[in-house]
Amino acid sequence: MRRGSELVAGALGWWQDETGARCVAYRGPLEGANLRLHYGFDGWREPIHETRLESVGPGLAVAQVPELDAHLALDCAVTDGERWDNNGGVDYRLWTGFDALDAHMHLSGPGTGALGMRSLAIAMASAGMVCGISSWLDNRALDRVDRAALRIFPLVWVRPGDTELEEVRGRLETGAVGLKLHPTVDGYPAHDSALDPYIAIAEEKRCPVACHSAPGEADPDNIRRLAERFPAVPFILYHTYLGPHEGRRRAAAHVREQSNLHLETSWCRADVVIRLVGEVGAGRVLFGSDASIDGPTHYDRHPPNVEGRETYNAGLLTLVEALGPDAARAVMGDNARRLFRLNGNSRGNSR
Amino acid sequence: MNYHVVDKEYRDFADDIEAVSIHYACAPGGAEPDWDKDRVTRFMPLVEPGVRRLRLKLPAQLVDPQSGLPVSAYTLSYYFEVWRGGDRQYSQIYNEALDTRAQAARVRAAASAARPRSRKRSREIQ
Repeated sequence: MRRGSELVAGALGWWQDETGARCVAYRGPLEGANLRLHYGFDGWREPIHETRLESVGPGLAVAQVPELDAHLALDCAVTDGERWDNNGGVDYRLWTGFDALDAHMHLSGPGTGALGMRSLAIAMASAGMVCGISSWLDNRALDRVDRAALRIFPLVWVRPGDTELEEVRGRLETGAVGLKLHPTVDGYPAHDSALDPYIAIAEEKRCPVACHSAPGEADPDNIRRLAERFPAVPFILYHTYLGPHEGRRRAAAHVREQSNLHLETSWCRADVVIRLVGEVGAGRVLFGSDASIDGPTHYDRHPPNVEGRETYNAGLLTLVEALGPDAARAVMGDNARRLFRLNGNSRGNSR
Repeated sequence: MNYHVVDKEYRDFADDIEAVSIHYACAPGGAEPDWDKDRVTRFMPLVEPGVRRLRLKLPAQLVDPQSGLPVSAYTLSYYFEVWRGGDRQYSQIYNEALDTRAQAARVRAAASAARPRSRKRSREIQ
């Protein structure tokens, strides 16, 4: 048996052998002597390759793939010669330069639908997301799922006046990593003073607050007013602004001027994210996707679901290439790890 | 009072309901609501096992686009978005004719000492 250490959990991940060489590790449903890794780089660009997966232990097979460092991402599927494991039809992706973290996810429970665990697991594997930050309208939903299996870190959904302060405190002490505000769905202005006791808890626990950013009650102007009252608490504008570009520009301007504000990028095309990074700096932007609102194909949906023009998976390749290694690592995970106080390493130890 | 309150209730039809939201919009004179422009979405909190209830704050008057005049009689259209087992389901759209003047008159006659409607009230429901 070859010795080594697994770097990322899941059906497909990285594995380091005793010489330090990085391999692709498979621990999915297929097994046997004929296992092969079928792969391409950076969005299945030609040429497509195939290599043998060598068994190194019960339920674990590994393959060495050349030229990994010359590419951004490995896209792949596994075959035993008769059957295919292609992750439910959306294939697997592994990023070569970082362990990607999705800072904006939703998981409604153990169900089989779009927002259930299975859909989210498939979606994450299709985009190379090794962990994520998740929230749900009803905090109890996340109590019913095995968050550790998916490496999901929950937020506490706060409804000012309705959510008990003790519940917030208790959840933050037992695994939740921040607060979630949705002024639009819950009907209050984002700078409502009724939020102050909750944000004070976030300040005490040194955790960030993620706030839906959109026209109306959740306008970035309101979020900034709240952030100004709590300068020690990081605030993340979810979606940057779920509306016209004018709002995104305003959100970016607030981030430039208010040091505890950050942008999250769900539903923004790659060119928009590149522009936002240029405006506010790579250290202030977090990748997020709202997965898996659109189910297992969330990151690779056709027709495209990002402004009707781009899939997340295609856009991320453009983004990562344009940002370069250091900025990409920050946006794709390290910023979120820093703000949510997860392990700061972008490879391997997600917490 | 510059708004009109309506209580809405949703009773879960299964044990694995994960969340319910209500979407609503108002339109004068029996016109179709402009969902894109006027839709309001609110989470319906679970107030007891299997029962979700929310107090909607609706406008006391709308402007009738035909006449340009304020009207207190209008239609409330709403539907429920139900999350069950990770999937999203929608109810049919319900339409309810309202006359906020009549309601206000009834409220005034029945409870002159009624407490003001406020967020505090919502806390008590939850």
